[in-house]
Amino acid sequence: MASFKTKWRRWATAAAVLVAAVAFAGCTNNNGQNSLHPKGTESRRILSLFTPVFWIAVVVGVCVLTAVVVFALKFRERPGNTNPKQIHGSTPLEIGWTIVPALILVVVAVFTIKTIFQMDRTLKNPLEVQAVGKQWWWQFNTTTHPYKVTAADGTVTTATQIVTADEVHIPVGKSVQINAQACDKAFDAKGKQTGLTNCNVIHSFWVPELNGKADAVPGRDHKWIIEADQPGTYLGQCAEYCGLSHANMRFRVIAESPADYDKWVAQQQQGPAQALLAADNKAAGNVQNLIVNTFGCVSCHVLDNPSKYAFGPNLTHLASRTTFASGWFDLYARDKNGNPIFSKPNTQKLADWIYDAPGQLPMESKDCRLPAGPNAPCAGMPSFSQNTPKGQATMTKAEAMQIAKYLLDQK
Amino acid sequence: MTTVSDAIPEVQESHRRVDLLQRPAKSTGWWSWFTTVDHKKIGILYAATSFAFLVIGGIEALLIRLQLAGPNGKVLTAAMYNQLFTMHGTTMVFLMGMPMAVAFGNYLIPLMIGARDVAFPRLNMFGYWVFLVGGLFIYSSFLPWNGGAPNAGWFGYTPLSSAPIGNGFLPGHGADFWAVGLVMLGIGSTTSAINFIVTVLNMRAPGMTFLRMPVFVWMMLVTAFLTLFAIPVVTGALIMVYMDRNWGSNFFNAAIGGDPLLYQHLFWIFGHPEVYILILPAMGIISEILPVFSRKPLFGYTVVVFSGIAIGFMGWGVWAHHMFATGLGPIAVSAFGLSTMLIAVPTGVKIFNWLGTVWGGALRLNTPMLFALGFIAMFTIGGLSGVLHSVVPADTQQTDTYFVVAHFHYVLFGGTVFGFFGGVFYWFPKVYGRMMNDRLGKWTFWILLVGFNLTFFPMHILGLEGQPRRTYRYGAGLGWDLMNRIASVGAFIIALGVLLLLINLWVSRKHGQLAGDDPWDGRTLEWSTPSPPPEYNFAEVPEVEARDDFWHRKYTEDDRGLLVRLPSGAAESTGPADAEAAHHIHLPSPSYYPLVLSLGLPILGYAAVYHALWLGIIGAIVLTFGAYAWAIEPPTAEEPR
Repeated sequence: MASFKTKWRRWATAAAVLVAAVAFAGCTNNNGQNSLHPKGTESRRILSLFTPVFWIAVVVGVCVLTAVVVFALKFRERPGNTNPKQIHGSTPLEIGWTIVPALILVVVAVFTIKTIFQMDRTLKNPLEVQAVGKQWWWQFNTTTHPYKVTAADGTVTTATQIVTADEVHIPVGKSVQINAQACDKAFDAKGKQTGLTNCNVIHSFWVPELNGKADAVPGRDHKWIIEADQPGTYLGQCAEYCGLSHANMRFRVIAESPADYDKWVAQQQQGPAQALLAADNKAAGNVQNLIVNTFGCVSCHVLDNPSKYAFGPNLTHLASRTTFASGWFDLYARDKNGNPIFSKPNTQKLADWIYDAPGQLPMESKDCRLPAGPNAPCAGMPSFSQNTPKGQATMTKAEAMQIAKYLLDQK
Repeated sequence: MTTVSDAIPEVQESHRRVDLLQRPAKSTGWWSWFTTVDHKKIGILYAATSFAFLVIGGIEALLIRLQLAGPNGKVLTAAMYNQLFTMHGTTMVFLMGMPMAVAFGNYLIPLMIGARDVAFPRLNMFGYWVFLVGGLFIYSSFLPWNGGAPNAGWFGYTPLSSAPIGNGFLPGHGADFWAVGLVMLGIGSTTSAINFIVTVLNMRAPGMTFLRMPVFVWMMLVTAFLTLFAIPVVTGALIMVYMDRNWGSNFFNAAIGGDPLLYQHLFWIFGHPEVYILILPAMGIISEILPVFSRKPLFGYTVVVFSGIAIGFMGWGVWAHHMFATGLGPIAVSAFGLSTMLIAVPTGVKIFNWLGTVWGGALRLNTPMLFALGFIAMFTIGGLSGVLHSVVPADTQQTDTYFVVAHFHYVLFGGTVFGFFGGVFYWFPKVYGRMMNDRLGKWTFWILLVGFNLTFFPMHILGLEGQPRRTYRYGAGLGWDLMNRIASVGAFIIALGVLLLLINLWVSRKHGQLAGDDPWDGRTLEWSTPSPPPEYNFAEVPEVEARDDFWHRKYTEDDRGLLVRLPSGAAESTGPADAEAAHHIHLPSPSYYPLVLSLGLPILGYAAVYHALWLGIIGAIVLTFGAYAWAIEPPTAEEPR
């Protein structure tokens, strides 16, 4: 019996060590997407609430599991233990084990509700970012101070937002209000909102190191605060199942010093590095002709105005981003530390994407090049080299490369 | 002497002649399985079919784990993966978990309350066949010409699931098969729930008062009420999904004023009681196993029963904890966080009472007992991670990650499935008159326990480390590779355990050691019948004088609270002591019509999916024929002269 007990203890120790090792592995994972590694006020708040409750749960769990094992061993039927005392119940015990857990939960509830209301605070003059979920990428409309946008024909308009995709920049130490959404707002000619357009399915905005999840539900504005307390690139991922390529729907929040952030905003507010259209609104060159006319990229993408959105991502400053295609592919080679090397673009990968996107990531875009009806049967980027519809052009690899190079000049 | 036909109104003489088909009479042979109305045979049919779906859902899980064994898995395409995880969830909830509980309920409720059958035997038969054809209907979507299985997730959130066909959000007819198929399965669940409720309320043997009923019967009663009230809600939601997809109804189309969140509320008002529909039967099962194998009565019987009822009520007030990330506002989420914490209290009370039952007992660690103890341990882990979800801010990190996958598998696998497996080992001797191999059973338990924990424990950590659910792949370099690899290895260990269980079932059925009527020294009435029980269950309906009546016919307690065996003879099996008496028991007769009626449903289902009016007319004719012929057929055929 003694040897059995020793053996048992050895097994229990081994199991405990294994569990501890596994748990430790969880705490040391520096993947940029680890909820146990908070890098902002909100995520810290959550973790400091989670941790004590977690340890209460561990203590209760260890007690119950130990009881199961010890009782099972101790009260086994054996000679001398075949006729146990018939106990039918005990009122004091029942009252006890109803009240004690309830009291523990009362304490948990108090802190939980306090945190819920802290996290729901309203910001004064917040920096606002609309995070609009799309199949399968995020559009970020960052509100900025008013700036001038000059169109190809010289018309000047005033804009108050910059539109990016897959990546958004925020200043360190400032609470940023995310409005998670799944529809674009539609405006009339006078700039008055008339309703919603491009409504998509539900997505969920989640940057684990900055805060929990905010579902982007069509028709709703989901206000959600993120604040990073140190510079860095924080990985995000869509956390609500949204169809075929849900797994690939990643994004990045890049937190930088206020000065760097202002520089980024100023740079994003510029017009395109190379004009898309000439003053007569015709394509400004050969490659521009491919984009505007031959392949009609402009029917889904905006390439020359940082303040506008359309069906697909705004590509005006694509080259200033580090990734493309819902953050799944790197736009530049990376160094040992994972930082992009801007002198080494992945031109070939971008060309492959332009040439045949569904060959790179799963897409529901077979019919995307057909004229769109009220319910365009289309999600994602179409292939320009396969299944070309009648009357449209099939892309060559050289053309894809030309377009990729053009886009990589769009800093 | 009470007989089943006493409970059924006398049939008019004139109705006898209207049989449209020659009424089936045989109660043996393979054909009898298609016409049987015997609750025990229907129970076996439910169990066998649920096991088949367990294997299918398990294979889907293995494919999923193969795909996720390493980063950037290439075993499955995204489209296939999305179909498989949708069907894994749909299968395990609707085609394995619910019907497996119904299998236990069907076989055991009449035996445990001293009845000869359920209240509505043909409705019972109908429920089974609807379940089978509903399951086959959903699975027929895999056939190549149907263009792919459901792929919107088992929860089918709108507008992904409800956007009009051809919209591009979600191609194919999968979501139609899913919505129509679940409505069909809901019909089956509702009928079996009504049947159980009426049976338990009306057909208890004399003296079987409510507080003498076995806990399993109690939990099935609560489950039946939950099913009865929950299914209509999801049926409504599913019909709205169908109408949005096919008829342009726009319930969930935000662009013109519909609301996708409405669906989530409806789905989870069903979906959370559904969780209790899946766990309460298993809680009932282990509440039967633990006392028998501890040789002690259940600790705090009334508290266990009332906490089960409390869970049944409170289960309706926690649904929005599935929606903490949708932006309901601080007051709503606080309320639902509190209610979720509150429901942990009666759940914890049950665990403590089970421990109290084991404490001080004389434990026989046979396979059923191992599974019951495993249930307590694993369910506790799942329950505690559930309490973490009631901490709303923490839940916004955990929801839709692998942490949640870990949580509900601890509840539904470590809990429900362990309970079911324990129940299978426990009642198998009653059903087949032979024991399952206990040695192999113990191996099965340990293999399942190890495999289960290897698979699902690491998922807690993966979730906290940021791995979202329902993703067909994850990139390299995120530090998730090792844990996923361990989980995949664990899944195959689970598969080995399930395989051993199936072999044990198959072999023991014919070659197991003979069991006798009461192999475990049981406490409840089913052990007073022969193994297997005769068609009429009890030659003489028992008079119940105590809780655990059968036990009290065998034992009494002395003044120190110790057991004293009563002279044998008191616990004589109520077998066919008098063949003459048995001959006069009126049992409901077999019938074709419930099967015919159920066959009309998938035809209507195909008509709904493909908008085929002619098929709809055929389905309606079959349905009407089945319903009318059933209605005018007397429950009991004429006595053969």
